[in-house]
Order: sequence, then structure tokens, then C-alpha cells
Amino acid sequence: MTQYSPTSNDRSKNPPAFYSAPRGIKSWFLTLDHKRIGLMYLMFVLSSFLLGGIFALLVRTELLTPGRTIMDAETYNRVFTLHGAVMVFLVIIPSIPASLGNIILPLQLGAKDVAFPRLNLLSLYLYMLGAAFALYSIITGAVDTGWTFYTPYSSTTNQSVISMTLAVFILGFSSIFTGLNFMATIHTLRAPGMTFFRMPLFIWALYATSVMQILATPVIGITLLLLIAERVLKVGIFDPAMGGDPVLFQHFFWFYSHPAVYIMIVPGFGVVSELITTFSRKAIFGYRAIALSSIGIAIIGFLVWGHHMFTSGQSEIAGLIFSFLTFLVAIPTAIKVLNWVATMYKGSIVLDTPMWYAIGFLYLFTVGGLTGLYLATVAVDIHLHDTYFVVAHFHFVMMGGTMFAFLGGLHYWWPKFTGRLYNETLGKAGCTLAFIGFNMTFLSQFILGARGMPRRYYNYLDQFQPLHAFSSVGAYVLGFGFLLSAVCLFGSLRKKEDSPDNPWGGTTLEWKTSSPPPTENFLDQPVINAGPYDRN
Amino acid sequence: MSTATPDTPSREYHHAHHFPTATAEAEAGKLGMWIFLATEILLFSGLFMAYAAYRSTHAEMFKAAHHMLDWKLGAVNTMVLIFSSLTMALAVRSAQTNKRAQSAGLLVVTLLCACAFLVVKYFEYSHKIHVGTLPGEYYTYKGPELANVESPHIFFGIYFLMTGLHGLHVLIGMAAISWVLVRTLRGEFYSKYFFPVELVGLYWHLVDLIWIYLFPLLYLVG
Amino acid sequence: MTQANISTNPHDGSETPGHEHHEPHILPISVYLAVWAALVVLTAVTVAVSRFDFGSANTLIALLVATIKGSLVALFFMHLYYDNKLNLIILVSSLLFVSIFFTPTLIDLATRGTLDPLKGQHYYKLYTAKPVPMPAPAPAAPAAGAPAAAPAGDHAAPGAAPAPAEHGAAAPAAAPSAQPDPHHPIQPGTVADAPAPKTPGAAAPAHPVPAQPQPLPAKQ
Repeated sequence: MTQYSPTSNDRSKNPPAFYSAPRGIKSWFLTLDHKRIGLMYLMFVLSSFLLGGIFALLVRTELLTPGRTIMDAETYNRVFTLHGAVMVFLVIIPSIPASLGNIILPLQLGAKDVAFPRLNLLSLYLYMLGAAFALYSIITGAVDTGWTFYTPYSSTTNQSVISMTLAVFILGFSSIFTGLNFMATIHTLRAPGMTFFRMPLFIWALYATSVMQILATPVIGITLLLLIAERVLKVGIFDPAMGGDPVLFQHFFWFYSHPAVYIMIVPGFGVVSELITTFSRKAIFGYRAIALSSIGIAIIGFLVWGHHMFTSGQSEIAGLIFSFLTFLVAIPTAIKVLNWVATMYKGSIVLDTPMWYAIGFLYLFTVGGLTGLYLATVAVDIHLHDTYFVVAHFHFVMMGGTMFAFLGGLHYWWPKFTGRLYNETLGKAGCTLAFIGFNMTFLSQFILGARGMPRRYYNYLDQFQPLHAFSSVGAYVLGFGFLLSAVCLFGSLRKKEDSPDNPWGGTTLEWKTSSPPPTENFLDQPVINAGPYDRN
Repeated sequence: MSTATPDTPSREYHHAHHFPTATAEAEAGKLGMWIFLATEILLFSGLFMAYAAYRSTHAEMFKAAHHMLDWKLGAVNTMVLIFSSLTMALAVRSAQTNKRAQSAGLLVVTLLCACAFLVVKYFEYSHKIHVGTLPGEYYTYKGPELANVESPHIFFGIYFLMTGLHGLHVLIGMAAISWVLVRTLRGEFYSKYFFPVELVGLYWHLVDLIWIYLFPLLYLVG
Repeated sequence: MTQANISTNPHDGSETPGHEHHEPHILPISVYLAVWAALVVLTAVTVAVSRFDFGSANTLIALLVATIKGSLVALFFMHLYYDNKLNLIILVSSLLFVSIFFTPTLIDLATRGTLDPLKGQHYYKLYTAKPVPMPAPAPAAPAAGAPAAAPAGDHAAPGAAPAPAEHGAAAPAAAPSAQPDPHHPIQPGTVADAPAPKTPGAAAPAHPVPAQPQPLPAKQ
């Protein structure tokens, strides 16, 4: 296959890497280059991950013992709220699309940039503004409503609710504009010869994610505006004391927040598809099935939000409808997992660090997804709702799913956009520690939940303490594993840019240009005449 | 004054380098604007949902409360916006056919219509403030029409939120139209490059579309 | 080979939907004027139709007329009729998802309490009761007990009045350490100053609350 990278072996004769020229801080903050924007997003997302992780460790440390360990109850409520809000809105939702997606999407399409580069920059600015509002809210007393902001507590409590909801509102628009950009790019800037069914699966996943971002995020926008109106104007549509309906707020909130969790995981699916096919040295099994199942998940994911509300007072009939639809969404998800395993079957597996993350994902996401089915069953959910079972479920899918896929993708594409190869041993060590720590932390929480430990509780019965303590130790192991991965990746930056163009033997377009690419991505316009994973 | 000046813009338009042709760029811009309009529709859908929810559970209250709105003013506003949609669409057409002055004039008329809309809204709002039919805890109306209904403040909360958000979009539309007007006066648009006018036009038509739904639902209930 | 591709239509051979290379369509002014006239007439129809009472079809008819007007604006003023079909798909999809938002929510609002008539009637009556006047702040502030302590925002109490019932039902599931949490005094002005769970109704001020329901026989 044609290579579109400079052919000179003397790197000094090649066009400069995208991060080398132009220089200066203005050239970064006023850039229109999607790769620079993606890198800046990456720095912000990783910093937010650190912040959210610190909140998590504070929560787990407090839960080492019943009663007070290191903080009082009001502080604890704030800390777990902030952990949730920071992780959901500042880390997981932007993680893969805004950082990896921004860098890789135009490369995989054979394009020079996204469709609307200035809008891309605006998305980044909005992210920064939203993060600033969130920090302001934290500093001025924070919120203890839980990241779900349920009314009437959130509409009446005397805390920095407005600044936090404004933060999320602004972050929502950052997300919308990213989705808009990606969707337009995929429709209009594919390389000649790249039909929809010749696109890499990462692009399919980003397309499905963009559809969800565009359709769902505005609803959280209006929900938060309504919440602010409740607080400021005391409108009374969500406050029962004024004749309102708090379950209506939950409908509004979850209509976005359920597709949001698919916005979080579907890009992860895309990354895993790339990893598994590359590291099995084999074309992906069931390309169309995986591609279309991403779209299927996007659509069905809009129909199931009421499964968060089985015990809130919504009608039983609505509950039954939502339960049935939730079972449906498991089908396209399972199709993906089966196709990935089929890809690995009779493949030549290469166990590099990204593949370790992908295999870890397969196990962690499957457990998380299956436990979601427990929660989808109304009769079972009555007992499990608002217990640690739910906490364990969503951490398995969000952390074991999305963040493992994110880290896998980060390790996979790191040589591409930094030009450096990292130390494999360190990378694998980080993955192993994270995996062990994760299972320690969250498998025990399934048991805690099934035995009745409610979530978001500061205090608990003595009988739960051993499991809580085990979980907390696991959290520290997990954190240490991530730290090790950070050391591995950032440590590699001290080395020279010595990565080959295609260190992993990938077949998609991004590997056909240099590592790192020049600003205009490819030396010539690539032309496509085969599928993305054909190996000949 | 309305003679076409074929293809003599103030400066030649060069499309962005990452698009292969100017047509591709214009089509992509339109696609992007339609996606944005889809997000706006979903944004307003929340308010329509709140309306539907409370209308279904408080039908009598809605019927009683909506009489406090002046449907004639609402109808005037509807006509004004529809007319402004016409002038906006014609302004795009004029830009496309190189009639620069005509395009600018039509944009000005669109702006004036928008101002008229806001003026009428100002009168409506100030009447309500005067009378006390305000949202939430600011509701103080003691008149006989609403003495026997429960929670009339909910209707007015929804009314102010819906028309308020819509009014905000009218303001944003006016800003966008002004920007395009300035560029038209500078002579930047011609038959091969006019899609910014088109995109602003699409936005403006959406503002009109939303009002087309707001008017019967708020002013002509039952 | 590759250089030549940059200047030609880059989507040759690709399946981009509807990306035919066409000159932007210029509509004659008469079309715009005709559409505008139709819109004016339809606005008059909207007002006229609202004068008649079609019973429950009122809203539907109003929405139907509005949709015809909206379609005219979209198809002609916004050029959707002549454009790339993808734009039309985007508009229709957004409306489809709006209806996906509306349908289950309205089903929920319409069917509260229908499956379990006994409990449902009870809750339905409470839901449509007049708004409850804010009771004075409870003297012993942490009266709501441990269940309300942490996730007050989590269990959205379905209405102020049913809160005692909810607390009553939630109490068995709550941690038995139901001592009031001194760190969570209920702030004055917040909702649901519920009486302590074990003394339902006793400390409540003059609520129009039906008598506290006893555990329902055989249906619990």
C-alpha cells in the first residue's frame, strides 16, 4: 500500500512535526490544527482525571471505616458529588472523542483537518470555560446534590449549584460542537474512494457518538437552564411545594444522561476494534455488524432512560416499557463483543501494551454489561437501585470500559502523535496494576450492593467494613497503576523521536504518514481502493 | 440601484485549504448549520415537553390562564416573523444573483421586523409585570379569572421561559443578520460565494419555525 | 496520480448520499411570494380554527396546521426541497427524537397509578392536590433521620405530601442506625420537612394529607 509520508531517512529534511512549528504559546492557543487541539484536550482531560481521581481516593479513604474517618458528612457529600461531576463531564465524555478523536479522525479519513477548524478551537475554549466554572463552584463551597442534581434538593439548597450547572451547560456545548464537527467531517471530507463501508471502525464509532452528542446534549442544556430558572425565578415546574413534579426533572435529566453513557462507551468500542484487529494481525470479523451496531446502540440508547427511574415514582407501565427496551440495547453490544473475540480466533496475537488494555476491556466491559442486565430487570432493580451494585456496574463499564479503552488507544497512538516509543515493561506493569486494583475495588462493591449497602452513604453498618476496606485498598492500587502508566508515557517524551511510521503494523490511513505527522497530515492526498483492514 | 454587477466582489473568495472545492465548503457549511438547527430543536423540545406535561395534568388551568394572553398581539407577531422570513429568503436570493443593494435592503427590513417583534413582546411582558401574572413565587395576580385554578404560576413560568428563550434567539439572530449585513455592504458576497447569508437565513427561519409552534400552543389553547 | 485527484470532485466513486455536483438552485421570486401568501392564510386559519371546540382534537388540529406552515417554511424558504437530502434527514431525525422524548414521558404522566389501583389512587390524589403551604421549620431539625441524610437529592420524593409514605416505606431498607444525623439539619425552606419516619403524620402541621396509609394488605 502506498505510503504518504516523507521518504527521506534524514528526519531533518522532512517537513517539521505538527508540534514543532510554528512555535510559541499563541500558535497553540490560536491554532486551527486538529492535532494541536487534540493534544491540548488531552492535557486537560488527563489533568481532570487526576483531579477526579483525587476525589475518588478521598471518598474511598473516608469509607475505610464507618463514621468519620477523615471528613465530616457534609464534606463527604460534596466530595462524591464532585468526583462524579468532574469524571463524567470533564473526563469521560470528552476523553476519547475530543482528545484521540480530534487527533486521529482526520488522519484516518485522509483529510487535512476537520470540517470546521475554528469551531473545533471554540469547542476547546468552551471546555476550558466550563472547567473554570466548575473550579469556581468547587472553591465557593461546591455542591452536595450528587452529580445527578435531583430536584427539589438541587433547586432549593443554598450552595454553588448555579455555577456548577452553568459549567455543565457550557461543557455540553463543547461536546455538541465537537459532535457537529465530526459528523460534518465524516460526511464531507473522506478521501476519494473511501465509501462509508470502507471507513475504519473508530470512525463509525465516532459517527454514532456524534449523532448522540448532537441529539441528546441539548436536552441536558435545557434541563440545566430550567434548573437555574427554578432556583432564580422559583418557577415551580420541578418543585412539589410549588405544584411541580420532581420525576419530570428526572425524565429530562436522564433523557440526556443515558445516551451520555453511550457517548462515553461507544468511542471506546471504536478504539477496541482498532486495537484488536491490529494486534491480531487479522481483518476484523464482522465489519458491517460492528459498524451498524454502533448506530444501533446510538438509536436504542435514546429509548431506555427510564431505567434509572424505576423506583422514583414513575408509572409501572412506563417502567415495564423501559425495562424491555433496555434488554434490547444489550443485543448490538453483545454483537460487538462476539465479533471481537471472533477476530482474535486464529489470529496472530501480539501482546503489546495496547492489546493488554483491549483484552482487559473485553473482560471488564462484559462483566459491566451483564450486570447492567440485572439492573434492567425491574423486579431486581427494586432491591439493587441506589446500592453499591449500581456503583460497581457503572464503574465497570465507565472505568473498566471507557478508561481502559482510552488508555489502550493512548498507548496505541502515542508513537503516532509524539514520535516516541515508550517502555513496554512499564506500560504492561501499569496495565496490570490498574487491572488488579480495579477488580479489588469494584468486584467487592457488587457484593456490598447485593448485601444492601446503599450508595452515597457516609456512614454504614460495621458488617460492611471489611469489604469497604478491601475496596479502598484496591482503589489505591488502581491509582498507583494509573500513575505508573503516566510515568511510562510521559517518561517516553524524554527520548528522541525514534518511532517508525508504523510501529504496530496497522492498516488504517494514519499509519501511512510519518510519526508524528506534519501539519498538513499527508504529503499527497491519499486515495482509497480497499477496505480499512485488508492485509495484503 | 438593483442592477446586477456580475461577479465583482470586493475581493475574490478563496475557500479553506482543507476543502477540495468552494462548493464542497459551502455544502459542508450548510450541513453543519442543519446539524446545529437540529440541536436547537432539541433544546426547545425540553420546553415543549414541560408544556405538554403540565398541559396534560393541568388542562383546566391552562385554558383559564391563557386568556390572560392577548392573542391579537400574538397574531401580529406571527405575521411579522413570517414576513421577516420572506424578506430573509429574498435577501439570500439577492446575494446569490449579485444584487448587492437589494440584498442589503432586505436584510435591513428583516432586522426591522425583528425589532418590531421585540417591541410587541416588550409590551406584552410589561403588561404582565404590571398585572402580576409572573412565574413562580413572583406571581401576585388576584383577579377573578384565575381565582379557582390551581398553580396558575406554572403556566406563566412556562410562558416566560418559552418566549424568553425564543426572544433570546431573536436577539442572537439579529446580531448574526447585522454581521452579514455589514459584510454585504462591504461587497463580499456574490454568486460564487454567499453561503454565510444562506446559513444566517437558515437560522432565522428556525426562529420563525419555533414561533409558528409557540403561537397556537400558548395563545390559542383550547 | 494523486495530485490530479485534488482538483476533481473528490467524491467520485464514493457513496456520499446525494452529493451530486450541481449549481445552487435559484428559485423564482414568485415561489417565495406564493409560500408567504399561504403562510398568511394558514395563520388566519390557525386563529379561526381555535374558535371552534373539537374536544380532545383541539391540540392535534392546531399542531397539524402549525406543521403545514412549518413544512412550507422548511421546504421552500429553507430550500430543503431542492437541497441535499441529508439535510432533510437531519431535520426529520431531530423531530423523531423529540417525539421519542415526549412519548414515554407522557405515557408515564398518564399512567401513574393505573397498574396498582390501590396505591396508585392514593398517590394520584396526592399528586393533584393543591400545593402544600410551607410548614414552619421543624423544631428538632434532624427529624428526617438517616435516610434523608445523605442522598436527599437522590430519591426524588414524588411530591411533598407522599414523602411521609416514602419515608415509611424506605425505613426498612435504610440503615438501622436511624439516629438523626446532626450534620444534616434540614434547612428552613427546603422541601419535605417530613415528620420522623416512625411517627407518621403525628408531627405534621395542617397538611391536607390523607391519613397515613397502613401497609397495604397482601399487595405489599
